[in-house]
Amino acid sequence: MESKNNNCRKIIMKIVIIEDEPLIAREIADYTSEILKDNLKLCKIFYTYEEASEYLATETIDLCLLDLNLNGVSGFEILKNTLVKSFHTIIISARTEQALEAFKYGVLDFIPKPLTRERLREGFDRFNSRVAVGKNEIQHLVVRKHNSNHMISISEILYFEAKDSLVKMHLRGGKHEFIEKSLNRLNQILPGKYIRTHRSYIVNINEIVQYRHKGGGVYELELKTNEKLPLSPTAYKTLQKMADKK
Amino acid sequence: MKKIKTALIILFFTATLFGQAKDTIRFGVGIPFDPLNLWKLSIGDSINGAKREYDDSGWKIINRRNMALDSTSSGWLRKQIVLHEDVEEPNRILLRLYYVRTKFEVFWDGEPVYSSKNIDLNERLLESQESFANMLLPAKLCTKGSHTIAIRFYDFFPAAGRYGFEAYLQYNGVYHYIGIDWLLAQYFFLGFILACTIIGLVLLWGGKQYRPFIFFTVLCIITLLWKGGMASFQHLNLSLAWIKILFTVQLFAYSVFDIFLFLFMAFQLNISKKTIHITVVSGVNIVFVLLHILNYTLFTAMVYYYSIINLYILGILAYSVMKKTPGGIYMFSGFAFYALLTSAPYISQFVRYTNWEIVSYTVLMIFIILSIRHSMKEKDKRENALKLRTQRLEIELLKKSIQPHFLINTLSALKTLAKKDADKADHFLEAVANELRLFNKISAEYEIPIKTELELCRYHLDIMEFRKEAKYKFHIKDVDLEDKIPPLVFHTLIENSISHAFRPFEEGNIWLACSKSNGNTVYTLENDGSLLSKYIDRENEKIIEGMGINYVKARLEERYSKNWQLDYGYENNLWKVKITIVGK
Repeated sequence: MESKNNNCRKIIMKIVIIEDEPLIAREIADYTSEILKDNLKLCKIFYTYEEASEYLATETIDLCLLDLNLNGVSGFEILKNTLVKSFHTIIISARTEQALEAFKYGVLDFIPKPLTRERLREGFDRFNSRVAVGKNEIQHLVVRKHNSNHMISISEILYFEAKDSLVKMHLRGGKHEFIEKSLNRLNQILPGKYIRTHRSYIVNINEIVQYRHKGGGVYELELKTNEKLPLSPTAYKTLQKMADKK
Repeated sequence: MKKIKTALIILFFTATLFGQAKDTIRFGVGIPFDPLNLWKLSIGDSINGAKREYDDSGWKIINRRNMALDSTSSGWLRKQIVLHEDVEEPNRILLRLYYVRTKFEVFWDGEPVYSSKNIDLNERLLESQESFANMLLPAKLCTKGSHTIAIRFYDFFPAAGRYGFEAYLQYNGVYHYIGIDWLLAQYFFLGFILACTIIGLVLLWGGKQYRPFIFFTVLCIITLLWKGGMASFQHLNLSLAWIKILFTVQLFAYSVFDIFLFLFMAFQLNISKKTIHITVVSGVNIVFVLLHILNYTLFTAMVYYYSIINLYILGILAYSVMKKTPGGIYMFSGFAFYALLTSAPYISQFVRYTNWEIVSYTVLMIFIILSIRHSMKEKDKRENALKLRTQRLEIELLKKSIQPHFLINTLSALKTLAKKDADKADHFLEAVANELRLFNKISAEYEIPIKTELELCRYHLDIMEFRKEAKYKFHIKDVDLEDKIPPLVFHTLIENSISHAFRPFEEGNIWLACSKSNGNTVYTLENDGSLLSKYIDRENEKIIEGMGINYVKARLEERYSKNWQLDYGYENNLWKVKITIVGK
């Protein structure tokens, strides 16, 4: 889990660029193909969000490179639309004062303009890393409910459970929400207190009261809510290490 | 304009002063008598009271209070008259007495000149139950020097609560007043109504910010009400005791008015060390009133004492004029006029015996209003200046926050272009430099010629053509290039159009037209960008106004205050922004 090796887990990427200035859009595309080389399967440019969303409604991609100030309109509403999806969003923008806000929503990275190759590479590294590389500024996750975007506060989420093609977020008070992002992708943006405890679970470590080896290679953890969740052997070892450190 | 008003006021004030002085001079020279020699009263019989040599030093100087006599009273009135020249035949001095409510005998230097004993009073009574008499004085009696008029009165007959009489000396066709006139009280009433109206206007006009002063103006009204109300009693048949009480209270009313007047001025002009000054003025006023009540012989001296208080107040007002307190000059002028009329020797006597007192109060009130209005205007001016300064700061800040992003995006584009096409990059850089240079030159201006603004717009369009890989045609119609407008208004709107309305690669048109009618100037900016056509169906959708529009509005407000209007919308397949400037 600690490995940040670039070559460790490289995905064949499909990337969409949403940028309203052709010169800059082309530059982003050029850098992208230079950096990713064979790992880049698809790179499409859209100059307006409307055109992009038509495409994104039917096609699956891995990463969206988004300008926050498309056509002069502040992009936070557009950002929420991209964040609900399964792919990650990296913002490329001149308005660095909006970076903090953007991170709160759960973007993977915020790259300031003018763009440099190195900085874009860092962004792709984040995409390839297994864990969150950042300062844990995220405060909300965006979900889509009844045709509108809702913000779920991270502090409300006890644990994430993979269910079919979606992820179920278990919230306080017995509530739950569904999110399109995979556990792998969520792992990349969630703060450190969220641990991948199992192939199908990410748990807020503060909610764990105890964990144990039930025997026969089966591990289990118990939450404050008395729920019992499966635990992977690797995660069990990690928890022990963390307990030892304390 | 302010200077002209001030000059007129001072002129009026001076003219009034001279007008009175002229009369005073006439008193002294044209006709010879000295109004300061007042009527003295003695109740009861005074043998030899008529005689010139009679020692009347123990007699009381008459005033309203002691002239309140009833039907049982009888007594003597004496007055010294000083003639400054001999009256020569065939000239005569005519002595007329009006509204006398007694039977009386008149003596001039001890010589009888009139007696109502011999006349059937019923015939001589005026409709108002008052009698009158005319006496021609023999010239040999009217020599230069001091003379004595003595009147013996008896048998008051019921009158409508009026006390006193009018006495005139007529010489060379001119009447000169030498008696006490209670009619003054009536005019007080009129003056009071006028003053109340003016004060009422102040209250309405002043608004919330003058609440502290409303307290004092209300007190002033009450005081004037009291003073004015006093006038009406003369038409009632009150008992003597009541009348004496009312007269006493009226004396206090004068004092209270003066005190509150000073309080008002002190707070209005915000003089320093208010407590001390207020204590002094109030204290002295009250002391004087008490002395006046207790000892009437102080009456003459009172005039001088009041002069001192008024000089003291004038000094305080003069100081605030020097300090350039808003409204100070008006207050000073008004009070100076009022003080002169009510307490300067000679003049105040004249005022008291004629109808000038209403003038002095009215003028005082007018000056108070002017003073308040002046300080309100100053306050408004200061507030506006502050507001403008704040606005300007906000404007500059707004623009500064818009600019850096433009620069960064432009530099990003330039960087990319430089790698691909060095020539194009050169031209691009030139356009950027042009825009920045002109922008810096004009952005802090209040207004610039449209010609310059359009030059800046063209540079901006050049830059955006590179960035968006498009072509923008800028059409200008009926615009007078020498007209002045606030800078960056059109530039910001065009900047907005390019960002919001046009896709990349899209060739577009922008139109600027000007029309003038009914004294209004209307600028219309239109574009045919494809991206805003979505608004054609969304009439009710509120367009959130961003920094650009807010900047434009702030600029328009700074330059035209409320006389402008900004409208925008989708019309005839074009996005239209309309700026209307009223009365330009």
